[in-house]
Amino acid sequence: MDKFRPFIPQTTYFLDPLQQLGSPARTPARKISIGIDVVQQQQPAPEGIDTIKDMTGKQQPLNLTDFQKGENEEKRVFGGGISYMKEWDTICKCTDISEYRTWAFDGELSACRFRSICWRVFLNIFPSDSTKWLSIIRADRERYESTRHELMVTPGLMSEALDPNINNPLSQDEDSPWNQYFEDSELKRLIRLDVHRTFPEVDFFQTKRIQEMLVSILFCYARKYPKICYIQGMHEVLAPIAFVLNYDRHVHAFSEKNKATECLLQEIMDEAHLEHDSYIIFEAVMEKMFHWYEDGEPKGRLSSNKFKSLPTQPFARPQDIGPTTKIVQRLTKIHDHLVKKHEPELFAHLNRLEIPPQVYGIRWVRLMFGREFSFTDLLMVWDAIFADSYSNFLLIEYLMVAMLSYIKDQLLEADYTSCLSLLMRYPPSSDVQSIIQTALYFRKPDGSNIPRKYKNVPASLATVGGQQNIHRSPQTRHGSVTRSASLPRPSTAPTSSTSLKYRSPSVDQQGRSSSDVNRRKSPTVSASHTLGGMLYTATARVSPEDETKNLDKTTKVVSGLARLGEKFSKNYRDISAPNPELTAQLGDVTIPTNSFTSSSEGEEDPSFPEKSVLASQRVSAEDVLAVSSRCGAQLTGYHNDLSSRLAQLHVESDFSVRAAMEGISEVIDALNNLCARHRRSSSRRASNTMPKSLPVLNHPLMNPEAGS
Amino acid sequence: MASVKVPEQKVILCGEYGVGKTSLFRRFATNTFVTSTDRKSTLGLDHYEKVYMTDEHQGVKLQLWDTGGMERVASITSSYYKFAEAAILVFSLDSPDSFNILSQHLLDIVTYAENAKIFLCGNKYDLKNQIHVTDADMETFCEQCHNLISGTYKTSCKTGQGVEEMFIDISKQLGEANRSRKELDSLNKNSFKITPPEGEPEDSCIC
Repeated sequence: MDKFRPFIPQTTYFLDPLQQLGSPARTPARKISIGIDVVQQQQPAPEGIDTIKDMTGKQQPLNLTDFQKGENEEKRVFGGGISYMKEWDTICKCTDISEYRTWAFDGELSACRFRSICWRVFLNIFPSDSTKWLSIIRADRERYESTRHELMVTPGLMSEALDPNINNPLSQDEDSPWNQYFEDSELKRLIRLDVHRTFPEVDFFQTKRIQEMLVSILFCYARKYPKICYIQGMHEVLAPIAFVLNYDRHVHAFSEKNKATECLLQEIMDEAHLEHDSYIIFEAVMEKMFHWYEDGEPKGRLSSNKFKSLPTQPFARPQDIGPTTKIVQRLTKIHDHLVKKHEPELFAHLNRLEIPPQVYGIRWVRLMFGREFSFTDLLMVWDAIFADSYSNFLLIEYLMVAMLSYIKDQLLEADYTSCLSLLMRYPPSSDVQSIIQTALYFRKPDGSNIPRKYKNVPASLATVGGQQNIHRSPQTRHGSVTRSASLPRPSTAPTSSTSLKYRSPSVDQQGRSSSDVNRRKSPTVSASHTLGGMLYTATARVSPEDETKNLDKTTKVVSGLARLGEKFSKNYRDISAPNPELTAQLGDVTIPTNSFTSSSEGEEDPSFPEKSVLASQRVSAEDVLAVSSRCGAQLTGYHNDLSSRLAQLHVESDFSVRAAMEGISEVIDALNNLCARHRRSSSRRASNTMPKSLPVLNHPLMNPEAGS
Repeated sequence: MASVKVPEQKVILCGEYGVGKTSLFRRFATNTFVTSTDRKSTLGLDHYEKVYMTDEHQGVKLQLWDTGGMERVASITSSYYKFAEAAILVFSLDSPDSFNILSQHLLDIVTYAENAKIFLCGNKYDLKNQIHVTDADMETFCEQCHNLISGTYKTSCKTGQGVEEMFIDISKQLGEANRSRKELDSLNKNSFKITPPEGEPEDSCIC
């Protein structure tokens, strides 16, 4: 028990309720009774947070006397020295399930002493209105009680007036209840084998009482859902559920010593109904999980049909041949779509090594990563999965990709054996929050939930395709270009100066090295060339899946943008296209020549039709910059409008929309970066000679309206 | 010539749950044994590689794969069995059930890994007074299988008895098979080799 208590963030003043009194607490917390109910105490309960949001969203100022403000800027809802009853109030009063979700996704629940209740809310066992909980929990418990009563029978004890010739253990009759009985005991034996081997390191699961409880629950489930029955792995889905329920009860019992708690709470935390509650939650979880346990094959032995294992197509991958079942199909689908989309490099790597997803994936998903994370981390992962339950635990699929993504660098450098080892024995010290955030980001890349990991482009990323990662495979180049499409792009101007370098692969594709570009002395040439390069990059990268189609589409974006620039330079004022038709509308406008310059001599890329036009004229660096910063600002506005409009409409954007949006933000980044760079370099130059205002800001092209 | 590339041989463990496949695997991988209170059901797959020197120059890299006894139902089978060079049928000497069911595992092996050499391993040899599967039983089984079985072993993962010997023997057998196959290959290659006429090189004409 002691080893496995929920994760306690080190940064907070959460006081572990199980901690023994008198154990060394961090200094300011010493005054508080250990994490338990302090309602009766006269002094105000010190809070580890600045504010608590109550149900109306109003902010309540809280007493901070015992804490140094500076150390507690993070908002905490649970833990952090908050009293047990106050936490309970927060839970009870929160009627907005999305708030629960936020707690779960942020890892907040790990300090919560009512996790089991939150899980029930997520899983739709409890509505968010806490007044109904009591009746629901009573009904559910009764339901399980009767199921259990019905299924756990010994035929001899039945009072039914069955013919003793049939109703005896030795009867060969098909109707004999003893047949069922023997089947049942076989099933129980099977379950027991696994239950005895459940989390051997946790004492809680080693007691006879708990083991028998788990067996009963799994047995009842198997009998109630004979199509699914019992499959290895379920026991490790059930175990953490029972653990959390028991843990919450434990905490409750501890806090109860001080004060009789509310009757609802008391009934929910009733020790005698641990089994019932475990079953109810388990059933709800399995309702979303069972398709991972489904088996396309007939039960029992494999079909001995030899021809089944023959490849149906030449060059088939291992996962494409042989008898496929639903779970393999689903895993293959994740691999072929999600992994390919978000981690194309890794996708290629795993394919090359012929590591099919079912080799590692079956355990990952069936146990909901139970063996991949430590117990405390696991509960956080489950918080997130359950919070996402309305989508049938779709997050699992994204978590799988996020986990692959997390160990990507190691995987890419590994050969077959080390790859398998990494996948089968996932590195234990993973940053679970980052994985969850990445998964959430993959699931819904809307810019608001950019995972920490991606906020700054890491140095290694910045040079992929450049010089540093020479060990990487040849595919890296393509991979890194497409991968950047999966990177979040903040809608505001990025401050990172690495992005130019980071885009170098595409420049490479045009036959130049990035260093070559950077070394050019003339600002005009340099700027315009990289601009051309970046625009090209935008065309190249949005298209991991349907190359030709999207290349065409993004080319349009670029050409539209080029024309937009043209418009600015001609002092056109009506840029009237803040919508996806931007490119289409602009595409229809015929514009004589292009003011963009490009030193793209020798570039022979058919997908860049502007090439000849771009090369035809030259303007000064200031012109280009003014145009680009203006374009950037405008596009940013449009982009924000678009995304907010899309968000309002609750549109699940399809690939083309996403591609377009990403293309746009790509261009914005490029433009802004260009400006930032130039501004820096010109200010350096300026400071060397004489102080003067930046030329760009006063440029007539910067503000076309003012110019006319 | 010392072999630069050690041939990899995929070896799989088959058998009912609870017979000690993972214990064998653990002995192989880390030469450790965990007590019964510390065991978990195997779910999914595990794998480990180790090089065995069959003689002074020749080594064989055994790539041992482990899977749960119930995974059979769980359809990883084809990728598990595929390209296996050897399969170890594991049963528990104290459990006749785990022995009797082996024929079905055997069927899976010959179906999905046709070329695999098959070995029979009776585990839990340390339970001296509870052994219910006799040597005669094992012989009968081998005969019934038309001598598909390339070797039988009795091991105890608890004491480590016979485990290393088994893997050494398996690697020897696989090494031999590998060598003879190589010889056969080279024989084939030579007999059908078409040597190009020793004239001018083909790419002499660069216009």
